[in-house]
Amino acid sequence: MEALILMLLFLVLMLLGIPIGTALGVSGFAALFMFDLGYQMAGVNFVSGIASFPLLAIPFFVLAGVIFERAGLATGIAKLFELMVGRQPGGLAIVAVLTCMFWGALSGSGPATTAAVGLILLRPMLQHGYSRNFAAATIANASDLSIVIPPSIAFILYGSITSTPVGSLFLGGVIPGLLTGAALMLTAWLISRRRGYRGSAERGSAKEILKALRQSIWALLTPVIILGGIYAGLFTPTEAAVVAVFYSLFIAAVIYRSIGFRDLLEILVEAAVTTSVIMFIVVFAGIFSWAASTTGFIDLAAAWIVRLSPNAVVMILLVNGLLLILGMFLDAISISYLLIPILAPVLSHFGVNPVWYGVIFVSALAIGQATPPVGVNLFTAANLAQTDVDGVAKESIPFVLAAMVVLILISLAPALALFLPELAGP
Amino acid sequence: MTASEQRSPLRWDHVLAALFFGAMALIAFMNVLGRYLFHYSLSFTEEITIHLFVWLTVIGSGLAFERGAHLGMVTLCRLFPLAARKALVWLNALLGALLFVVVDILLVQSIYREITLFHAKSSAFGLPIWIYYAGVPVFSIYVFRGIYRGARAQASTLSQKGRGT
Repeated sequence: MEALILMLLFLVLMLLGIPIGTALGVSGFAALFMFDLGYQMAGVNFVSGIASFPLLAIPFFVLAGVIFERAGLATGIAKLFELMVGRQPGGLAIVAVLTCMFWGALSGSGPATTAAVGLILLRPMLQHGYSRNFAAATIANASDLSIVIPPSIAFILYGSITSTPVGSLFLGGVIPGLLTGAALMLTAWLISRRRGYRGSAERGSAKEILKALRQSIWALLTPVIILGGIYAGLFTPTEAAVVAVFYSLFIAAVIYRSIGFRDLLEILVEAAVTTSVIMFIVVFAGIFSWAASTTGFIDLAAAWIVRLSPNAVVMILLVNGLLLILGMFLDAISISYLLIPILAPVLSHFGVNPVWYGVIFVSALAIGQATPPVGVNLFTAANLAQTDVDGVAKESIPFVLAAMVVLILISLAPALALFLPELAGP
Repeated sequence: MTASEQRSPLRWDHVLAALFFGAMALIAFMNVLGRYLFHYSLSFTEEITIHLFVWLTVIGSGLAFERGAHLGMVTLCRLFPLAARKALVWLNALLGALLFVVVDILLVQSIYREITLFHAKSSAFGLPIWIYYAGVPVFSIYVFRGIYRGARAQASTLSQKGRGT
């Protein structure tokens, strides 16, 4: 009964367009007060829900992402990829996927990637005769990868909710992220060949490629530093994030001289707002899921999933389906907080490796970012391309299917996700 | 919006957010440097960083309300009639404000209990723990202001739309 009221209130508020954080907080508090579930501690829980060292990686990765964006690094990287693969059919679409993948390794959020890459590549794609909807769909879907390719805010949250090492999750996301990227590029190539989207006329000479490489070398080194540092055990993910902040600042201010001291205030404020949008959901989702577990909803739902699935593989595939559906309506952060507490006991019941499952979970969430009606990347891309979401959604279908094939592969073959983390050791 | 923000010289909430964020980054970076260069652990400073993060989130939430940046599912309510959408803007503001009022009241009660009864000290610096809590109700001022400004801006956009059609 309590659980039903909690869920209904949340659903109604969400459908009315109330911000998800507010909807989660109001329904969570309503349940805590109505059924006297120990609301006295909720104020302190607000503080402790934010004040944690692992979550500190979120603001730092966001800040590094904003600095990289302001530094204008994406243009150079897109240029480099274009010189390398631009001559293929659909060359610019493939360049867009590659740039999104690389940008995902600099920043941890999908819409930010869509915006950064879209601003650079949409115009040239349209000039080369790509349809508006296809161009927007390519970028929206490729931006999904930024939450699978480390660093990723989704992995930080999964790690913090399940107490799984975030470093292992980051490493686990590398191969699945690259695989999904390859699947998206193949899709873009096949569609472009059929429709006659041609690549650039000339191939970049070795000399040009070397020059572009030299210009982008500082940006290209970033993932090496972040992931290498975590892989070698030099930094925790939070420390890697703060190192990324100062590295990006060094590149932007000293090497490229694209930002000055006065831009800093603006950058910090922008990063603060983006961080708060995330943490606003995190903190109230925490209170909501606390209320949900006190009402007994979580145990019920977990028992139900266990009863429904004869073995781990069926459970994983069932939950993938659920995640794809939820991903159409909710953002990645809320889904994480709503579902992970339910899934944790189910995972231990079936003895599923939490790192492997984290990679599956985040890959499924990533696909949801580009599915209508609420795919955030879809909206950002449609806005940038000045076209309607429905058209972009239609062009997204082949990409979504390609990403789903990889998701099933990861769900059946744990080694794809676990190879790198196990190589790195505990 | 950004144009008017650039014209106005400095805003306290911007300065505070930037200061907190900058301090968090600097302290955390010194920590990493300290460990590798000077073999000296500054890990006790973690306590400051994570609580600045709490305060930063409160101020930033206010800014996000002002800019209408919080994530929500807006597809369905776009179909509603204008008057209903305007009512929803104010319901949204009311619920958001209510949420922070409740959090603030509960925290003030906790602070009161800390001062009168528990006297808990923070683990690293030995400061009274309530000092860290106090930032939330104090900086909530910016949340309430942001909610009001954001709602007013959205309502007036809807009114203009009503006159336009």
